[in-house]
Amino acid sequence: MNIDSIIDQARHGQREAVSTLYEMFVERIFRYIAYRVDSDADAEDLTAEVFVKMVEGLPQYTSTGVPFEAWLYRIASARVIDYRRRSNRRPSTDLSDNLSDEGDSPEDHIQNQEEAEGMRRAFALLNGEQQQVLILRIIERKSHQEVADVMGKSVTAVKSIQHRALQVLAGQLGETKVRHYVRGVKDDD
Amino acid sequence: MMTNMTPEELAKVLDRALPSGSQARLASSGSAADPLVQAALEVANAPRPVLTDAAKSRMAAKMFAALDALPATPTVEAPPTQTITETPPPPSLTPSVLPRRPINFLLTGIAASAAAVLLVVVGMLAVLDNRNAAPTPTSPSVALLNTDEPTETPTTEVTAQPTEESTEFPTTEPTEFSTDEPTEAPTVQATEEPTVIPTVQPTKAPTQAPTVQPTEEPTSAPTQAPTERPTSAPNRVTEEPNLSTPRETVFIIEGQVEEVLETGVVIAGFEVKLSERHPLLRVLRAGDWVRVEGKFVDEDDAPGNAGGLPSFVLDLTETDIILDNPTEADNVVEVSPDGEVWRDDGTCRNPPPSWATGGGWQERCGTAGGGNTDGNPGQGQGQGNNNGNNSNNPGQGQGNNNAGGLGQGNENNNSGGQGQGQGNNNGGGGGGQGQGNGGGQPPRP
Repeated sequence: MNIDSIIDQARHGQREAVSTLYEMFVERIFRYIAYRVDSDADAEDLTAEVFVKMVEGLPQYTSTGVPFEAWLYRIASARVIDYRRRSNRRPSTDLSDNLSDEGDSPEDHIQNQEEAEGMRRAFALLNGEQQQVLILRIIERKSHQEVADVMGKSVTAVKSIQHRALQVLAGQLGETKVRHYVRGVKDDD
Repeated sequence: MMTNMTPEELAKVLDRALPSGSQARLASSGSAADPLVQAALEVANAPRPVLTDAAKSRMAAKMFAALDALPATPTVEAPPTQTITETPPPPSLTPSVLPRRPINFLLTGIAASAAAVLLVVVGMLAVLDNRNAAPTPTSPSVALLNTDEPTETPTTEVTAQPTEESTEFPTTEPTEFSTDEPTEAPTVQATEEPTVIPTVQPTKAPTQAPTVQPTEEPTSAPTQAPTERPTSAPNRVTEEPNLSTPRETVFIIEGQVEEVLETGVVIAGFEVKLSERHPLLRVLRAGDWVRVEGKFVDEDDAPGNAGGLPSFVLDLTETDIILDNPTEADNVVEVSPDGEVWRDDGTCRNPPPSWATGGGWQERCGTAGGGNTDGNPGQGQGQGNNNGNNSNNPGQGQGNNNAGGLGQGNENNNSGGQGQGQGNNNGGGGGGQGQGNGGGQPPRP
């Protein structure tokens, strides 16, 4: 069964089709969001919102040639923007409880946590478009053309955004001097 | 962090290093010569968020709840006579999600059992009532219900003969989340007695007679609403109690700095005392959004608290302060090993000292063009003379869009910075769109 058929059935409220779409895209959407918010709990909430929006919007959904996945990514992007607006803050302190690989040793787990935190902090330095490009191209391994389709931009623009995003990250990743916070000290220290 | 790659060249390198469609983690990311490629490889090798089954379950529950809450959508146009043959259900993806979450979907299971009981009752009614000449329309919901958990292929063949065509989605069958018995149910006219009743067995025998009554007219509005919903994700606990030191309470204040004092800051009316040596005290500005954590000072010990009123002084000399401004450039603070502090003020007028990386500043100002060194590249455009700033930039070209507002009109650009003058508006306000003369006073320092 191809995706169009599944979408068509889902548009008519068929649960199995909706469930199929959910299974197909939930992890991708979650990852897309998780790097851009404070915590996995927030990512879960927003991912759920995306799929709620999906089922609410499906009856009106019409294919315009843009991949269905792109539609979901756009919903997700809007949710992230709304999240930022609501919270009025950028990713800061929360550590992920899920960002890890399966089967980690405790040491690996801690290291992964630290890496994940560093990655979130680094991503926080990027604007929304830059985040999207890096997540879709480098983490999700989509082609530049696919990224362009999702974002509604030209391939050239995507490559340019990618270049600038990596410039920012290159200056930050692994750099320990730059902090968003500094620890205070006691007067008598 | 220097690279000579163009965006196109970088894209080609990344296409080779990280081909689309692959998900392989790279063995090593430490050997890339170009810092941009190195950064890309580090991102590629970063730990992936893992979506747990529990989280997946909670999200699915919310989604299906939303689906159930939608108004009925015309989905299946029942023909005047429809033969519904119960067949083994196609592979359902829903069960692949649900069975791993027995707690969350306990109610669903109960509801499904109730639905199964109802199905049996309906079937029996259909058998007993097969003398009725004019059955009311049924719906494909019989098949739908059976897609959940039959364990063998039923051979029941039921012919439904609706008296009138209904284009509504079945409305009288309970949903997966429904626990109520329906108030109305379709009557099913069986052409022959079923030889096998679907093997879905109720977990409990009905304790009272079924209330399913045949109806004469199909309803068009949903009559069932989910009565139970899986609960949403549990509230997050932002601070866990420290059981080992139960009397030590940590306060967290998030808010905007209203005032910067010599020994602290005022946030949302709370005076937050800081170490005089706290480096952020030197760079915090009124208007900054911050998150501070610290311990409450006993009112008797609070400085200047001679009266009996509760003190709102927090001693945060041993705490973290996190700059939390919406604009990331406003959060960049670097501290040298010997305690010097540099903060990016968002403009190009405050370059980083030699010990600081000044990543954002370099990004913004290191390759400045357009003749203006004040603020982020913006969208401003316009024409006109702009003699009012020190750099005496030409009045055409790129403008700046600083933190201030937009300038408009034909006024001169005075030192206040509002207004005109396109191109550049170094007076501290925002560059903007417009036309006109930007002559005026030199900008504020």
